[in-house]
Amino acid sequence: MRRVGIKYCGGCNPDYDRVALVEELKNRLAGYVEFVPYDAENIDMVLAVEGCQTACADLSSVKKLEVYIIKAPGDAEKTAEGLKEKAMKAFEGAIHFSCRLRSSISDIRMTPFSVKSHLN
Amino acid sequence: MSLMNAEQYEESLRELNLVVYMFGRRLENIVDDPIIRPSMAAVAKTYEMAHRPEHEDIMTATSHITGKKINRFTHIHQSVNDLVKKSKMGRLLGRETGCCFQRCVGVDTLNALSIVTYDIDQEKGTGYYQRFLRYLEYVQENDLTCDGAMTDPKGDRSLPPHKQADPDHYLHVVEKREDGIVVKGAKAHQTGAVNSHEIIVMPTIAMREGDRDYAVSFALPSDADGIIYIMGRQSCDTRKLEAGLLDRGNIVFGGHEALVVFDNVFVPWQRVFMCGEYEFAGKLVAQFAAYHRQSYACKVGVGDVLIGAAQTAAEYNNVAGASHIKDKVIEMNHLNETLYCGCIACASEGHKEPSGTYAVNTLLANVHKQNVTRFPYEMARLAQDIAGGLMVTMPSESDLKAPETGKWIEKYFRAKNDVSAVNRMRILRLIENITLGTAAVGYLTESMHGAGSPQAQRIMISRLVNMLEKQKAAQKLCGIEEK
Repeated sequence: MRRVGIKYCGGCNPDYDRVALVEELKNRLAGYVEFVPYDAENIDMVLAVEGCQTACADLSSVKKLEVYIIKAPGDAEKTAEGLKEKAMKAFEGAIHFSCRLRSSISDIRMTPFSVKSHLN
Repeated sequence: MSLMNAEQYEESLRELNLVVYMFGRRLENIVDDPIIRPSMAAVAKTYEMAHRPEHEDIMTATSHITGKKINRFTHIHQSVNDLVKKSKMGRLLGRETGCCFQRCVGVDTLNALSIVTYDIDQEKGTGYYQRFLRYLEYVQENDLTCDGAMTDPKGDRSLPPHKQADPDHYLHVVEKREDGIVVKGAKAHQTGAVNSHEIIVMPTIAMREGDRDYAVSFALPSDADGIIYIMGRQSCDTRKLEAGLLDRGNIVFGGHEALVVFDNVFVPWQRVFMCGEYEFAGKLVAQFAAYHRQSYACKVGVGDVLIGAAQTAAEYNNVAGASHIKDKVIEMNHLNETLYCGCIACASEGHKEPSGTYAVNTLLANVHKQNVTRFPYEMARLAQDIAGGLMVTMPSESDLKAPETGKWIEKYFRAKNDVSAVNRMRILRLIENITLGTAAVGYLTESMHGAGSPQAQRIMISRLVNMLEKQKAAQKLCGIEEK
């Protein structure tokens, strides 16, 4: 399972509930992606959760890794799809898994995230 | 233990043996005292949030001495980004606590000393900077809360320290020994003093040769022999002694100040960072003041709370859609975000000092603080306007709970149908707390006088603006060629 390190910005004045959004992502991707702190060992990629468009999270310690960035709840769908695609590639060859995964990607497109930005 | 948590912080305070007086008696248990405990909770929040992934990017930093992860309140700014994050941390914690969280004064003192001890060494050949770094490492390793103590009682304001009728009106060295110095005097208005592990003393004004004994800076454990704390009282403070929480407004957090007396206190040399270098007293004051004026970013966070409370009160009364209410809330936001602009700007325009420490733009920090002396007062006025008079005329929580009176309060103080009287009372008490209760000490009067009274900023502004360039620009545009 792909390990995704979560790196939050400091949350000084966020436009949305970053923690709630990550919880939704965790639920959506349960079984496919394991979310861990960004400074955990053996992470495959990083999810930077930024509270606003300033996106000031310090990513210097993870710059060698692929980084997905969420700056608003609207970014969550695309991120979820991208993380699932990565999971699929990692398990390439496992036919039953791919089928399961494709249906899951379809599912997440049909179920919008509930966390909203106050700017919407 | 370079990052304490809230519980460890509280336990560490219990190990101190502070001499604290309040209402004429010595306190035996400071941490659990109902009047002081909310202020301890506010400091504890700075420890708790450093452990939360969603805030650690602001609340922690990497020590330039050890490379370890430390609480940002013990960090020496190594970049403009560090300065910006400090401003953001102020807003974040102000909003989380709704009050003064007391720890900024320590980090501002540490940063000012990191600059000035280096500068003294460069000119005088002293060894203060290395001594300071050793002390800083101790503070960082143990994640200590430091009280930065600057303001002397000052006696006759027209006289310098050495000409005061009472020589102790400014803290000074009374004896130099082989192993250290003995100091006497006091520091007033010390925010968070009894929640601190360390107290770091600085001079309060620029000095001349005659004031040599008063040009002294040092650090001591807060429970060192001879240090006495006399708690300041706050408007509505004894509500914290009453049963129930509602009438406190802010039911979790608070702040405090104290008069700190140094009654012939011994300071070992390894904790002395200035002793007689009067030429540098003014620089230390100015560096500290600039950092501390930036620190009033916290008022933006408290302003967030006040705006949220005013909007909630308006919605409870079902008047939030009225154009004049909307306009007042817009004005509050305009004022609050203008304050935010100042604290971000002075950080963004920061620069590197010879010691390597990054300092804020002093002019912009003073402009920011000057705004802070005004805007919270206007925001408080607008919040009270929106809240209505009930904020100061409603009965107590005890009356709400009493069977004989509670039914009438429930009946007559319910506003919009789906809003209970108790929730309406809660939000009004919070506005009362911030604008004229215990938290008004921090949000209003501290905004006025903390980090220097308004005139201090105006003097700095007049010194720092480049008036000649402005005149040249004007004269060039209208054809004046005279020199």
